[in-house]
Amino acid sequence: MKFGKLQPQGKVEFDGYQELMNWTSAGSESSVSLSVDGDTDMEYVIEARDLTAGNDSIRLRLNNDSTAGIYGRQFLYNNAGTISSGRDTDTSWVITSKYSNTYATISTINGFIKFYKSFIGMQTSIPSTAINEVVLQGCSYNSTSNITSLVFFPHTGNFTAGTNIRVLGRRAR
Amino acid sequence: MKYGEIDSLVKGIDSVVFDYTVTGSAVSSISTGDILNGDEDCFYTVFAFHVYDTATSTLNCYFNADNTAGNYGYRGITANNTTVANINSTSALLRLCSVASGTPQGFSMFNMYAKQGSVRLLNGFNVCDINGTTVTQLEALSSVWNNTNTNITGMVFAPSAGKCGVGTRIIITKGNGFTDGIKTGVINTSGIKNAWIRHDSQTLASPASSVTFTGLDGDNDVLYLVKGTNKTASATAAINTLVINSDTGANYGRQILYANNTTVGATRLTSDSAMLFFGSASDQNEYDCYNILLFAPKGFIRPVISQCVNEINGTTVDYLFLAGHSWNNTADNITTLSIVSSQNNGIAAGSTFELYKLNI
Repeated sequence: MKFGKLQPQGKVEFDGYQELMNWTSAGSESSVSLSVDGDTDMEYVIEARDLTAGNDSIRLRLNNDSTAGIYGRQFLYNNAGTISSGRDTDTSWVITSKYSNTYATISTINGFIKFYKSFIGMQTSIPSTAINEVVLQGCSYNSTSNITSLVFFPHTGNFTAGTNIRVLGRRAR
Repeated sequence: MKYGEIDSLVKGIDSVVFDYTVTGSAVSSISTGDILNGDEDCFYTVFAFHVYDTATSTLNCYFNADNTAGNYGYRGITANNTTVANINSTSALLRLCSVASGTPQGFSMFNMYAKQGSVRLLNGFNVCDINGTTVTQLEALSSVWNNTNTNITGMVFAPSAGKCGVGTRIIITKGNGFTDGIKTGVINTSGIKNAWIRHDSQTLASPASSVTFTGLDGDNDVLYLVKGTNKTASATAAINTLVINSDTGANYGRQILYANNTTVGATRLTSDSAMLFFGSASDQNEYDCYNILLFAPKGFIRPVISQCVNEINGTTVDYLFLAGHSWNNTADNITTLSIVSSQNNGIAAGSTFELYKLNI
């Protein structure tokens, strides 16, 4: 069935991914949240464009859980030509870093701990043709609870104006 | 309101905006023309299958008419057999996959935020120089177009030398951020043309040895996304593989890049009997989570990009894997995909596997 462009005001009930949030910062916000149902949705895609000058700029907490060490990470990076890797734990997941672009997926399967995979590319200054660092991450959130919110926040201060976060998910019928 | 399959653009749902296959004779470049609107579309994902013609080449991409190398740059990590290396340039067109006479196919994907206002960054993966079950090089690359104030209206794909061979295919999806659509209430539909749709989802009620997706038509579906979140059930550590069309012959190859705590490594395997997208068996009650992107049409080898996290126990993620694969079968339409455990009933209850296809 063909139509012109459609702009649903409510959800689209179909077996595919739709935009749950496409948010651009005005520069004055200290966090942005999205209500979800992880057991039902099962996976989210995150695309983020960060214009902040600081490292580890945007973080994510599931259910706003800031428990120390509940988020685990294995990372692999190339920083100015030096390739290295390691593991750590934290109170949140790293979504973006300095002047960066991120593509990521989150698995929120019912009854399982949760998983996050991402690819971050970042610059030390803009505008520039130099990419300073690329980072691959594989992460876990050590809780089997249903995820009911995704809370994004800057590592320090407020978001930088123009920073964009987009979340895609599948809305079951 | 309920609809049958919708063949329209729907705000907030990514859809195919460009799909081109080189047929008849090789071409010097592939241009979308001025069909894009980066400020409105917001996001693009590009899938490129590159076929060798007569010259060793890297497939490049540039925006609008800006083919000035000095306006682009990239940095990434490459894996070539057991060698892991840096790759970077501050003056080079966007770098996609490479091909050569003896390694005639490559496959790439990248994702980007397209709006002007700042430089345009892209993240993607290149599976380079594939011949049979040999995948020569895997690249994880971030790139930049150093232009802050020009709307993206088109993309051009051109090899660094020679031409794009017959069979080369470029598919672009866009984010559909328009604000002038027909306003509707909730839409309930069986599908949306040119969007990713879920073909099947399976959550195990009890341990199993495998999960199979059937009813596939790879030649027409073109791209598949397999998503798996797996817990190991067996007392003996288990590893999952992907089997295409029940083919357990020596027809699979891969180039892997991995990180295991502070160890970074790479391996290449050829002539394997299944597609192994991570290299380590998970112990009982450990988790694996993976996304697999497969370019399906026959006529050429079938390339795959996989991202996996493996052997996860609580907050300890043992392995991070990125891999480029090849299924060395050019003749058969893909009709089934199976996730197979190396152990009997190795996949635990609750493990969930989903298959998406691009509804072109």
